[in-house]
Amino acid sequence: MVFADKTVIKDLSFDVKKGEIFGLLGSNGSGKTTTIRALLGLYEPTGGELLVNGKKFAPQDKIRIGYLPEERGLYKKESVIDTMIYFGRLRGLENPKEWSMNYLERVEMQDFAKTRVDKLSQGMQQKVQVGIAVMNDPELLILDEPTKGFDPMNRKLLMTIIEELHKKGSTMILITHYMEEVERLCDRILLLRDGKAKAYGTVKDVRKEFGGKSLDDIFVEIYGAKEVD
Amino acid sequence: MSGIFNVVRFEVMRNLKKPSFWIAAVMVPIALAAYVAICGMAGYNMGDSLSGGVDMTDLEVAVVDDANYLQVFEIPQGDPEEQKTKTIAKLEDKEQAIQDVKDKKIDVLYYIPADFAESAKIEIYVKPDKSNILDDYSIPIRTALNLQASSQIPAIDLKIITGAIEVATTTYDATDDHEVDMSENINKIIAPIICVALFYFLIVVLGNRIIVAMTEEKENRISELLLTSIKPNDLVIGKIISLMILGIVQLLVLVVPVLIMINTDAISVVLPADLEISVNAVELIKYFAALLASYFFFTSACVAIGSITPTAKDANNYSGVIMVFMIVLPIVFMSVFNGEPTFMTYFLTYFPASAPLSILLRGIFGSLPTWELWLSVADLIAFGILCSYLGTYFFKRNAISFTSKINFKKLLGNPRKSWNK
Repeated sequence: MVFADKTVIKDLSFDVKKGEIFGLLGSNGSGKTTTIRALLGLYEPTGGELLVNGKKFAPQDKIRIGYLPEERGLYKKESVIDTMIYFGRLRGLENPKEWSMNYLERVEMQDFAKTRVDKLSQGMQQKVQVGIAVMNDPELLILDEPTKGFDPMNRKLLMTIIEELHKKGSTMILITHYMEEVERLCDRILLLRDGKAKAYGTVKDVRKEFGGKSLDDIFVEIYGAKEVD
Repeated sequence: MSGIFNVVRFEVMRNLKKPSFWIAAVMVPIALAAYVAICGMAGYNMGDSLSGGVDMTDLEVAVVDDANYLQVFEIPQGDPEEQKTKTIAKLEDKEQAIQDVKDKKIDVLYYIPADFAESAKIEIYVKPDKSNILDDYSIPIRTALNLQASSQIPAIDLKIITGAIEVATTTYDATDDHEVDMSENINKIIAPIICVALFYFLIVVLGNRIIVAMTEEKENRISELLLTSIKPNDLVIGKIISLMILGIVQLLVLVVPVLIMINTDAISVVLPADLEISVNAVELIKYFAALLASYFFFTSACVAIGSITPTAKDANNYSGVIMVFMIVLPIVFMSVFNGEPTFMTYFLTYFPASAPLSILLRGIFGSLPTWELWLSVADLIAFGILCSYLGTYFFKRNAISFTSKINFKKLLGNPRKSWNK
């Protein structure tokens, strides 16, 4: 993946197994978000391809993908329910209003259904964004820093939602800086530095490869103490 | 297709729910209705005044004529068929007459001074309880002087002076040389004039909404989430269709009250009584098609600009260039639309940014043959489609560029294959 004269991702190859939670880790600017955007077609990749079940991926394959981007926002002047219904319709939900109301009840926001998005707190807006990402019961769910800005209570709620979806069979790619989330949720991980894979495998294998260190220590070793947030 | 439908439904409904949309939409019809109402009321008052100004039937009216000019003292009053007259009493002493007015013995006094032939000035005195600044007490003396002067001038001279000469003009249509009469000419220009007004209305009321339509997602960081839910083509096409629908709604809000006014004859309040206007339906359809094609091009061009620029503020700067071509150029070179077409006439007619107003102005000047009008419409639609394509193309490349600078190198670089078309 090349931007102007700068190579951002180079010779990167990895696979995500059906039903697993895959952790994509790296410091800021290591190429995680760019990799995901290229996979989703938001960036036109310079080279490479995405294979799903061994076949080259094409939009007509109609795989249900849920995506919670790092750069996220909503229509500020629309109500929560109107926004969710719109995205629900775009994602082919049969009854988006019913789904949205159930979700809002689940995240204790049912009283804010008709509230304008810009009147919500940042945390509440994120709950709506998470709802939009998971509303089509995705086969592949990509979450880019999903708990960024969440308080511990809402983080726990989100983790529960992720675990539920995982139990239902969703495959997930999780981009995060929180190693405890990785240890708790991820089956396998990929650590990126400057667009290249520095560690790849199950959490257990990666830890073994680095002499049994914790993921935090591995992170520090790969990126250097100064780079770590 | 369902993606386009969902975008259209969302965009149209959320705009229709906004009070600002309806305030802008009804602003002009309300202003028009207010104007009609004011004209109606003023016309009623003026009518009262003109038909005698003040009811003079029971008033004592007198004149002191130091110039010895007035010879007519009987003037018609009220309905001409009833042939009623009013007598103006002749008095000699001005001071005494004024005192009589003050004493309420005379209601209205006219004083014609000795130098009336030079000054052409008359003084009017009205008794205290009759004075009203809105009443016109000069009508009786004016009528008397008019009758006197008219009787001394040959009828033809009078018609010349009062502009009552009848004129029969024959002109030849610039487009096909057929003979047309003036009423046909007047009725022909009504359709383009209406469409010019409607086009200005649309771009003023909806211009900013169109610009914002494509930058909103970028400014609010929604486009990344959105583009994993819908194809960029569907999003851009849906936006353009919804803006067209909103434009048509605005036009209906404006046009329907006018049609109601025409049907209920309320329009006659604002038009001169002897002016007969009939809008040629064929002409109206032709120019309405030109109006819609113009609006389609304008919308598509603004969408293309919005897809390049990261913020509405940036987009406004670039759309200003289109506005210059669209409004300023045709007005500056307006003279080329009247008479034989020149290179500049054709350039302004077929250059898409200047075409909308140029077509309508040529229609007003009667120098646009029908075949050229349809060619211009096709031209605008073709360029509108091209702009829609460019809008989609740029949006795909620029949708998740949230920086404040436009990166032309990135926008215009060699396209690479992408599977999310």
